[in-house]
Amino acid sequence: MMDSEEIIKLGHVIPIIIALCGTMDFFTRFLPVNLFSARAWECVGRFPIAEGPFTPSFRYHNDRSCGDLALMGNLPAYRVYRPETFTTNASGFRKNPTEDTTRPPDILMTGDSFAAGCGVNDDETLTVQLEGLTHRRIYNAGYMKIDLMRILRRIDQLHMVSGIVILQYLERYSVVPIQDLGYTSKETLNRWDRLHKIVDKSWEGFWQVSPVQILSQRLYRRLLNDRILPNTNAAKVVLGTLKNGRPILFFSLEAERFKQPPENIDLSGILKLQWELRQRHIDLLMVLTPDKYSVYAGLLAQPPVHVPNPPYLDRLSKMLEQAHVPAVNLLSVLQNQAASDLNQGVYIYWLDDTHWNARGIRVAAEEIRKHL
Amino acid sequence: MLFNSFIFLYAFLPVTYGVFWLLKTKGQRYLWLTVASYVFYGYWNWKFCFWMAFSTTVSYFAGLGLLKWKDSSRRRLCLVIPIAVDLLVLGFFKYTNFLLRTGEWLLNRLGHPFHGPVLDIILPIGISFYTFHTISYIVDSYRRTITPTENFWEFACYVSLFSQLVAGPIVRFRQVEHDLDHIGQASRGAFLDRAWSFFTIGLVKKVLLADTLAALIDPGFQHATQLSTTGAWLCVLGYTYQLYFDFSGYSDMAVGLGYLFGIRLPQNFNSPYKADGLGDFWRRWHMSLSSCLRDYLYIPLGGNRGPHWKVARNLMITMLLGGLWHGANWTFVAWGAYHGALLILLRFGHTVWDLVPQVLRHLGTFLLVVIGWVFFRSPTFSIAASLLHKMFSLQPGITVIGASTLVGVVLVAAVVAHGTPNTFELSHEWQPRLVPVLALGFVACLWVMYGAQPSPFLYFQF
Repeated sequence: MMDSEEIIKLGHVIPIIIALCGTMDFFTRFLPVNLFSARAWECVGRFPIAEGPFTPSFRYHNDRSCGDLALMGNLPAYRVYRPETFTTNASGFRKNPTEDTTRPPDILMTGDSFAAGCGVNDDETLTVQLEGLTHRRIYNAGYMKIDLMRILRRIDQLHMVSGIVILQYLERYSVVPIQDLGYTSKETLNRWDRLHKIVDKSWEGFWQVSPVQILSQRLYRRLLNDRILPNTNAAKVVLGTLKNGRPILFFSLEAERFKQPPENIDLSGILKLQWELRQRHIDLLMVLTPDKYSVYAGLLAQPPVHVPNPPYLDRLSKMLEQAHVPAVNLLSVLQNQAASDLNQGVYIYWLDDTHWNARGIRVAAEEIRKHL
Repeated sequence: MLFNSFIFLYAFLPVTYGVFWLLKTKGQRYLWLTVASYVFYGYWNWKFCFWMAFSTTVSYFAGLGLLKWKDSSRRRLCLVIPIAVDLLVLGFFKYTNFLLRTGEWLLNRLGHPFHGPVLDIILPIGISFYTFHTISYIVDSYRRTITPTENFWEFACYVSLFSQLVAGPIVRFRQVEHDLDHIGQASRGAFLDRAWSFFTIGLVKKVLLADTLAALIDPGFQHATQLSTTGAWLCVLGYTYQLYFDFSGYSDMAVGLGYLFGIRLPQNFNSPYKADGLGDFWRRWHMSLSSCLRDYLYIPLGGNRGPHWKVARNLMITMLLGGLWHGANWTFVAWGAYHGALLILLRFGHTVWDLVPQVLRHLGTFLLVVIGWVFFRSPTFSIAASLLHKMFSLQPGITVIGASTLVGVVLVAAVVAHGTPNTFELSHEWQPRLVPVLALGFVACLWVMYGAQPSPFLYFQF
């Protein structure tokens, strides 16, 4: 037995601290990450063990969710709080409240976080709003990694033998992100592959997400306020002021790309996807989604001096037209809506987020409907 | 793997420590420490391990040759071949692109347009340090200062020992030979308090002082050419203390970790900013490197013997190569040349220097060192020149964000660096009432480590 003087020796105290902190870190990882997340997107992707990009059969609700840019830039003063509900289905995709699993969908919606509905509630996603306008069954496969193999496998799994694949494509990606990974339609994950994926993704989610780290970072970032310590995170976002005086945040990458759009556009991946889909009697519809900066640049109190002419999405749209790939270019319709809404203080993208809000999605859905 | 990372603190260290003390014989412990050190090193990039294993094997067999052969020609081969191999490997990884760029610049200047390739070479972390380990081992064996070991795992353990592998101190075999020979009889409790005391102090120096300074000055250095005079001084002073607390913090942690395994590593910093002359500074700053440069370069060149010009030449060559050792950039060479020139001046003008009051000698030395760090920190000469111009003339410009915090941290750092005993001067026998203070410091470090991104040690890049 050690006496008290023996115990408070540094050689015992420090190892005890390490052991306690390590144990606390380990066991808090078993707690639901919802408790520590500021918004849905931070936690829905923790255990993507099924086909989709999110934790299967997961529900997140937060009455005080906020935008990714305000968090990314560590700018709490610019947060816009709102309630957020994000639910996933058993396959790990964003759940459509009217999802009917007994019949194949008419439309498969793919794309990035805009298609999945980052920042909006389950009943406000592009899938749901478009479904309401068209009365067709739409499956939300948004945020699934966009490659040929995955899209075709998803089509097979949903037993789609006709219909449409909507590929929502965001302006900021320099190359249309389709990769041919040598798909064969019979290819399926065997039992061991599935088990391996479950173990791998579970371990990754367990290892990478530490509630102790989340809470410590939250506390530490309060010091990064440009008074005590420089807020180096602020460089990740661009702070602008709209003509109506409201501050608005942009992802700095968007602002850079707006000024220097890519010269060359490679459509080979898209054409390959369109050809493969045609073999299955399925049509492809591209939805060209503008970055927030492209929509609001002209509405800033100090708009950018250099504006690319023609805009990148217009060039891409023209190229798709020439290649006979159906496409909806949302740039001008969203720009016009943003301009007409500005005086009423209404917005189609969240002021503190890279993504569109329910109103912006509504405008997009109405435009897409015209092409279906 | 960084010492200030959770994978190290929560997994690597407990497992390495626990298994080490379960093993009983020195052979088992050599093997275990070697394996653990390769895991530690391979965590960055497992391919790096091959180069270290290659260097270790070549030097080990050269040592065996030096043990076996008595004739000078074979012994000379055992000296030259491994050193040439080590230097070639180091030169390839560290200096190939530097030489290509320099050649390109020279040819273009001479009117022969040339555009050389940029080779995609990844510099193995710590190669400068373990190359020095193996070279010192070979030279000392050749000089018969040490008896080369016949035990491969003892040698592999010496070269790869994780605590000092990637950023020193540069340990010579004779400095740890006794502890390695007796590692089988090492006592777990003998250095336990001392080990954790060194480690905790090192961690506090690194995480709370050096990293905080880095967070404050790095944005300033990104806009170095736009800084005001005050901003330039604050950034350069901040860097002066950041470098010291970062590197000496790492060395303290290395020493503490060595103690945990019964191996006493040498002191690497002896309060260098308390120096009262440049020569004194180099006896206190990165002592293991200074002594290596002295014993394996300066003295073989002739040292203090011979006419003044030869001594000056020896000093300058030593400092130029010392500068180049720190990095493949002409700014490091300039930093070495600057220190070489000052050492020569003070060597031959020491009678005048000695007449200066001691306080002014301390201040003067510190100021000269601070000016030198401008070259050390600047990626280009134009940035160094701009910073020096701003420091020594009144220039308007931007100041540092969080300037008041920076002033506060610099003051704290200055008090610790100039006015308190260094880690080796402490007894490390802490009163029970002081243990919670150190424990609190350790917890604060953990919090910062969780809250901020883990920051690598500055000397990893050298």
